[in-house]
Amino acid sequence: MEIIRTVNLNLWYGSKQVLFDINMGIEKNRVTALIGPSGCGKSTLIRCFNRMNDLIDECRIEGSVIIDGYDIYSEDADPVEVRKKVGMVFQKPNPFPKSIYENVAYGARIQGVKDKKELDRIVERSLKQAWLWNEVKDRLNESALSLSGGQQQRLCIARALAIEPEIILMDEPCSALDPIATAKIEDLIDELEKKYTVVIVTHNMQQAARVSDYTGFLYLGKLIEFGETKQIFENPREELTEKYITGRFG
Amino acid sequence: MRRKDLYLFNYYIMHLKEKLVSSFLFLSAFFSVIIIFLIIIFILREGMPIFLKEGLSFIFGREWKPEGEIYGFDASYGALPLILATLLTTFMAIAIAVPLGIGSAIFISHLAPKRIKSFIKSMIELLAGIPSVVYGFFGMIVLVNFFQASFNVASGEGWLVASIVLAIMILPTITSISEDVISSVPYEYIEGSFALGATKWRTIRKIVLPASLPGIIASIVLGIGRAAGETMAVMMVIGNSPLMPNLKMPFMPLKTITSAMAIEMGESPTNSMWHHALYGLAVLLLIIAFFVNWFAMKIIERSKKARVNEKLKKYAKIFFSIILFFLTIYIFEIYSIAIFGIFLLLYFIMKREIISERISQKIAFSLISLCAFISISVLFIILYYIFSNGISGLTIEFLTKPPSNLGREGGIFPAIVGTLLLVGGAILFAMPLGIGAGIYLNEYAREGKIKKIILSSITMLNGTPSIVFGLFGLTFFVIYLKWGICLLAGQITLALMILPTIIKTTQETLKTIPKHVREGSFALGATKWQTIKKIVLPASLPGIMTGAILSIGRAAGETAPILFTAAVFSQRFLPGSVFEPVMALPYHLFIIITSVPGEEARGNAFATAVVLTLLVIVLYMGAIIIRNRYRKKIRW
Repeated sequence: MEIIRTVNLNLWYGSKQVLFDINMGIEKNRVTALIGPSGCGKSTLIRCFNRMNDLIDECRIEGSVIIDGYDIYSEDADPVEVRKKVGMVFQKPNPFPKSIYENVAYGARIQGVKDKKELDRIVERSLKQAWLWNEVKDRLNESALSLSGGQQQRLCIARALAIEPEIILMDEPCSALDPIATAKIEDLIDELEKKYTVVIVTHNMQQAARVSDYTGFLYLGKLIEFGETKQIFENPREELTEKYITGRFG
Repeated sequence: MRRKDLYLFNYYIMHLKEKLVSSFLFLSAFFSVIIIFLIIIFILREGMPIFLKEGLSFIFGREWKPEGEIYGFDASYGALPLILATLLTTFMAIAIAVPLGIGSAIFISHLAPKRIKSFIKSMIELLAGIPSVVYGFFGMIVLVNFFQASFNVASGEGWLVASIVLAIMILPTITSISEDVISSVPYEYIEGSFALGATKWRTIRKIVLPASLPGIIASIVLGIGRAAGETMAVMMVIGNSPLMPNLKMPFMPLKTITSAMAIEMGESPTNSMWHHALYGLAVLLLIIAFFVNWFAMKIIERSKKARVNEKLKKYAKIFFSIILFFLTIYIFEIYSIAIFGIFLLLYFIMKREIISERISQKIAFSLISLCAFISISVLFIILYYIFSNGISGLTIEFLTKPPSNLGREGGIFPAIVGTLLLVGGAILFAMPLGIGAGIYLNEYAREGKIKKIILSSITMLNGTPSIVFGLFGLTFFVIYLKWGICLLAGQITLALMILPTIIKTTQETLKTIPKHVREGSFALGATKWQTIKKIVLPASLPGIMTGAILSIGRAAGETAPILFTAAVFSQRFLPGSVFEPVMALPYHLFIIITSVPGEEARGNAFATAVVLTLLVIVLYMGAIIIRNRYRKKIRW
């Protein structure tokens, strides 16, 4: 079942067009990876799914992104509501300068949770889901900035899970992490797939091959090829895709 | 000489030069330590007798009648009324300026459209440039009369008007420092919050403001320091009677520490107990100023290590709530029930989220925009008022003739020249020392005790109120060195006052020049001084210029430091040497407003205010333009 569908999505920064006629569908409860060389627009594309591009002044978008049958770029759509359904994890771990507990509770509070016990439950559940609970359960009131990079990134995942999204977007979540921390996050993504739809941007092709079910290859703002990961990596239809995957350019 | 000898000779010369340069730079940095030391010694020396005679009753005595010694009645030296008046006006000013300042800062950093952002910022910085006598003048004529008419009181003077004037004066300090810290909150935090579906207002309230809280507190503390040390503007509107302050009487005339110093210094004979008591006040003021600045520095230092103590925050909240509660009951008596009622209702609405997040965001943003609007309006109202009344008096004759009939007729030529001489001299003294010190601190000084001592001296110098500089100039240059009241004493006193600004801007500009630029030069075999002279200094010139121009503007508008060191009121001639007294624009303005009655005097006061304000505004605009250009151009 499709959860995200883009229709003729075009995007400009000022007068420069960054995305060209993107048409793709993202399957529910699957991991979809977006790959491509730097500057190909993959991060820009993923940011269309939760309207983060709205924060950039000169950004202009045409076409539509339909999530759960609802066009998030229609006149009456509210970006704030969209973001409550679509969580996001960034390239660099960006925990708030608050305690570990407060970082996760922040998301729940946005959802209107006030009761302390309920908050405690959500914090524990989210941290467990992000496989961080055992490492931090004795120091929930310590600053989130005291955690290691990998822990911080899992905290950011926990924070996103606390708003109970349907979709989680990950924008190169491992690019600032060491291999061990990266492995942990990749395992975590496998686990998350059971409950959530994950869209991940990565420039690491092995990572895309390891974690994803579907892969989209972008080049110069165009979606060159989209399909099952196995097919893309073993039997690409497009010459460009093959060249990229075999490392002949990038 | 043989070739090898010549080479060796050049080598030695080069090393000698490097040594000499670094010693000179060290001395110019150490100069601040010497000066702050001298200030403390000389103020203490003159102030000690009153502490020895009165002891603690100098601080806690409820009656200030030091003139008794001269006029033959029982003198009393209780500074409590003055201290309380200073505290009262300072905190009222803070209470007004903090919401306006933080609101404006949020508006500039997060709400203002890009195009008008830098405009508003520059306007608020301009507000900082208006000389304090001009604020005092505005307060006297507009605010005092307004309150007199609308509340039907005998005189509108009193602590309320003084607090409002002070609030306007510290508004730019709070706004620009807060804006700096709010804008420097990492974008990742903001992005992270938005991605969770938070609204803009929630993001500002829960993420941005807490993250910039230490910086905001520091800006408030610095505002407190500035308000407590301000002299001229307060003196002109507060009424100047040393009464014990009464919170319920906003139009009660009071006398602050600074206004007592400025007014009575001219009346008290040297070596009288009265004279010593005034220096005793300066000691108190210095202690307050040092403490405030030390506190601000600590907060900024701690903020770098992050983490605000949650418990401490909670206690502070409870503490302030209790104080506010009793204060409200004390002032408003039975009406406070209504105030608490409204407060509780608001609290209930907020807690229960009766209004949606969208509407509360709208309300919050309107209030924030209102704050910015008020801040900007204040600037325009003051400028409009001064210019519309004064521009007609600006004739060629006014600018080129000396004053006559106590400033009612003639012009202000000697005052213009006097101000230019004072400022020119001050900058001539302060520039080499300040730039040298800045270079030493950023390029040469190693972390350690000496650097710490120099840095804290500069911080102390920066926090020293201008009236204390004036008093120091009086005892040291005028009396101790026997120069008498003269141009040179004024120039050096002003130079000392602007020195920390120049050091700081130099240091900050140098800091922005990246390491790899210096390394590039070193790698070519250049010496340290060569690198600084040829690479670092040229690149930082615009920044240093900006600092210098801002200091010139500040020096041109200051009155308190030249009050007892250089300025005289009416002088038909220009000074023949640096050991003669001069006229100065701000002092001239001050005297014709406060001491010369008559319509003509009023007209000339407006025209003088226009000249002074224009001078300062032009300088500030220049500095702002240079800075904005430079920011756009250079990217490392």
